Amino acid sequence: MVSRMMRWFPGWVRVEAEGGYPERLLNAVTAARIAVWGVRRHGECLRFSCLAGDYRALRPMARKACVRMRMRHKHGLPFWRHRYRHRRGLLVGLVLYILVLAWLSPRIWVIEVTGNAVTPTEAILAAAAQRGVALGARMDRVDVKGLQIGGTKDMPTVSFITVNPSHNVARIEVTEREESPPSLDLTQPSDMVALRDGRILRMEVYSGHKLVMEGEAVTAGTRLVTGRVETELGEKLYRSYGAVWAETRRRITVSVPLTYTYTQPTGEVICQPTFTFLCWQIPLYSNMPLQPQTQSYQASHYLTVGDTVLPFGVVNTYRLPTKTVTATRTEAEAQALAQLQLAEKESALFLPDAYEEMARQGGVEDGAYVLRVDYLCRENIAVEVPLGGELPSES
Amino acid sequence: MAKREWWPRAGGFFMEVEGDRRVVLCGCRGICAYTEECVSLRTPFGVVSVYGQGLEMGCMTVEGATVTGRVQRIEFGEEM
Repeated sequence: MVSRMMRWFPGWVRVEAEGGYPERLLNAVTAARIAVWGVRRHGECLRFSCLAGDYRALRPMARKACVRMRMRHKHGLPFWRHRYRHRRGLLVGLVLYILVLAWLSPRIWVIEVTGNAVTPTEAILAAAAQRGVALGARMDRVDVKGLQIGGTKDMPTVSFITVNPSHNVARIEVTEREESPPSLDLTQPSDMVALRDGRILRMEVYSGHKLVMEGEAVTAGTRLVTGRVETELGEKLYRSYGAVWAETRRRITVSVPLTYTYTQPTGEVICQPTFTFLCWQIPLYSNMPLQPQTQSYQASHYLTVGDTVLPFGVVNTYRLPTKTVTATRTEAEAQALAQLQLAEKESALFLPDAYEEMARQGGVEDGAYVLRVDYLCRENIAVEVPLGGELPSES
Repeated sequence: MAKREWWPRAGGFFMEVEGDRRVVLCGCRGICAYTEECVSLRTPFGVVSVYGQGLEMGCMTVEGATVTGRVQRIEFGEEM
């Protein structure tokens, strides 16, 4: 194999000698210290191989031995180079291939993040990018120790983070902190006041002193539990903590306009492709102005190898110009929509099976279908305020 | 007892036979005859003829030659 390689670089030829005295030719060749190999007799012909550079020196020897000599095959780099001398693009392509391979091989092509459930992947990638983990960055310049130490400081929800380089893939492994149950801060004394009017059904007071009784009617702002407790040793301050369940009356009003406006695509679609290569993005569209009302969505088309997505691809951004359309709905449609909105509000405001519908009133008022429903609810009306404080106005 | 010096007496000629497939001859001084059935090489003390079938000279330099093929007989004789 090595000798073949050594012959390939200077080039070698297969020679056929015919007639005369081939033995004399071989003797003259060996006497001239020209190496030949693969000497074989085929009837009257003698075939052998020699280096391309020695072929010219064989001619006078062949003439002396009365042998007619001709070249049968040419092998090696000089002949290969001569054959492709007009195709310089092949050479340029080969050189470019080697350069691109040498440039891309030590770089990060793919970043995989595993182990995060709460922490956003974008935040992890941003923290990793500060330590050299980014698409197109050199793998040997990744600051693994820096990421392990600094990554947990940047992201409080992360207890451990590291990056495992594997060829061109940087695998970021994250372990998140387990949240400890919240502890009740008993150092700040407080009261509990009624959030709204109602009749008290049940009181569950774990800390503080009750100021009202079960069955008693209260109005919004009434102090229900106080943290100021008189004892034999004098006044002591506690944090009020508990729940006061009361029967309250609530009203939900839903208004659905009969005339409404909405945006609708005009049907025109503008595709803006962007070629993505590692961390570089090359837009393949003109920077033409778009109308202000436009919806958009993206579709990515990346090359993949198995389950691994390579950082080469095209991201198409589709822009859909929209127009504002005014429409009307019938009273029945508005009523149905109001019923849907009412159900959403009920589930958001009330506990399940803790309310009863008392009265319902619906009709068209000022161009809108208005639905009003009164409820009898059972809910916790106690809200904590600072000691001696009042109910916040925004409540 | 005198030391045996076989190499100088051989006149620098040395032959190595590997089974019936390959014969390496070092120190030969030229070729007398070369066909597919017989390769005769001139040596310091005569002619060495290798007989066989499909004989081929794998490598040939001024130091020696390698004959490959199916070797059947090797003869030593006087130079004509």
